[in-house]
Amino acid sequence: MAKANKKIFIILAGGTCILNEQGHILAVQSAEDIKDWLNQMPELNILADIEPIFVSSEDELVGPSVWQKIVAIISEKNAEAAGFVVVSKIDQLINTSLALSFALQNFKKTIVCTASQVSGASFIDKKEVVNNLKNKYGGLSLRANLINAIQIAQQPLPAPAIIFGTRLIPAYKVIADLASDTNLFSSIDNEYWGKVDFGINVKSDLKYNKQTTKINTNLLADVLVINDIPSVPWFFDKKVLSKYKGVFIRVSPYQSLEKSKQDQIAKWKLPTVLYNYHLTSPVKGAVSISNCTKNTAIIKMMWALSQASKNKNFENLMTQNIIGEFLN
Amino acid sequence: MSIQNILLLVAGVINLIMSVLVFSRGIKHNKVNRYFSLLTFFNFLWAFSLFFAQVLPTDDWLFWAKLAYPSSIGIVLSLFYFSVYFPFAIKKIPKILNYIILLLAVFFIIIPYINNLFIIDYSKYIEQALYILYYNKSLYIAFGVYFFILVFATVFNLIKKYKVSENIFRKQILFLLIAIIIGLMAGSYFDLIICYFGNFKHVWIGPPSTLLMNFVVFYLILHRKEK
Repeated sequence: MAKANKKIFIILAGGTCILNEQGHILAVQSAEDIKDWLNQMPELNILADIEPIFVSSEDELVGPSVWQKIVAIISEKNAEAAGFVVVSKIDQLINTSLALSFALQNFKKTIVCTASQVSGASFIDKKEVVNNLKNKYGGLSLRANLINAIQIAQQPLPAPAIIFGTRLIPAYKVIADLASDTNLFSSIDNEYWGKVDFGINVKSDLKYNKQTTKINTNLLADVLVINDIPSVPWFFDKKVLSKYKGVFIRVSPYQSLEKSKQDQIAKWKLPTVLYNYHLTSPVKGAVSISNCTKNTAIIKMMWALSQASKNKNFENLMTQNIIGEFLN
Repeated sequence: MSIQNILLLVAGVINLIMSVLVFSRGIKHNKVNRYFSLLTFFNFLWAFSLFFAQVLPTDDWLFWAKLAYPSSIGIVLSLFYFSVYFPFAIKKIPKILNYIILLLAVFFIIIPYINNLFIIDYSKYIEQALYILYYNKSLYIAFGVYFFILVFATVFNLIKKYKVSENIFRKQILFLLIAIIIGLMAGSYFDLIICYFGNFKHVWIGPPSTLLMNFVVFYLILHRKEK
């Protein structure tokens, strides 16, 4: 008897643009578009028993509410799935994969995130980019990325990861790679979980966590992100600040935050994180973290703040190594 | 030893190394690795069978000369299945077609070893390290037809995939397609077509022509600097 294909759920939350046979862009803007979209890639059904699920369209903002929906779907389909492929917008792909990493800790099924090189609902402004990709690579990369993602989703992985181009990278190590137009992401320490060279090769020595799965279905908290430039003062309206549950500040590694800014932080009385990859000087009333990627620190903060109702200490959560995010 | 025989040995050894290298990357869940490893293993067998058929002064040469035919069936069969799965499958082969392909392969693997059926006569020139086989022409044509059907199916599969693929896959398919076509053209001409007319002087050209595809795969595997 022929071996049945494994069940893989493809969760669609933007980033779905492909080129059809006529070279026109096709994206999933609603659940009704899925059939036509999938018909362009018949090979996906050979790789696995796939079931697409629509979450959000190309013009919807990918953020906490979309992530919450994705988490809910993954939790619900967990029993019947062999793995999950999450397709989301390229500009939010790192954050999406990190949100899933924090919301679905020690999750036993593989979650792989990927995207098209182009996203959005309007393409007039992207005509040149699309034509360039079409001529150079024959498409917008999603077809190749999906083929790889579906195959990887059938293998065990320790945590959510991104597959894009030839690289498979754990979410907590991903950074944007501006030097390459095939691999738009790289790993901060140049170590990868796998690569696509002659077929897909996932490392055999990955470490798996045996702890029980923790699923956080809370909406991740909104955080104000500031990129501090020494000697440039901050001006914030109280009303603006009240919209946020916390403040994330990327600081300079080699000089302390100015006294006036330290006073502002104390006055806000909001949970505050000071971040720099290399090192951060301590400031009273703020949590200083380093040795993780900036996106990881931001999403971790959003997750930690969403845990506040459970009476967990924010500072403790921020300094604990939750998903292996501290790299040294 | 002549330069031709040294080339046969080198081609055989390189193919064997590649077979082991690709095999060691995992074949259980990876059909691309599985069929490429088999392909290079049969390339190795083919090169060594031609080498021993040419150089052995004893009667054993005939065994090796016959082995070249099962090896070439192994090559074209693995190549065909490789083209089905590399870099991804776009179609499932119907079971019935699979059975037909495999049954015919078994048939063509066995017949060289049945006396006076496929090979009806032979001559060996020990000093020139040369041999000539005389075939049952109908069976040889049938063998050739089977071989070329699989060759064309392989090239067709890869061209079809090249057309629908994008990004990294597109480049990989193009490089391999060129290497495979060169190897198949040289192999088919010097080891199949002109042998039909009794010319066995150039059989040594076939195996070294498979090296290009080894180099392409070697490049694909090793050119990236990431850990």
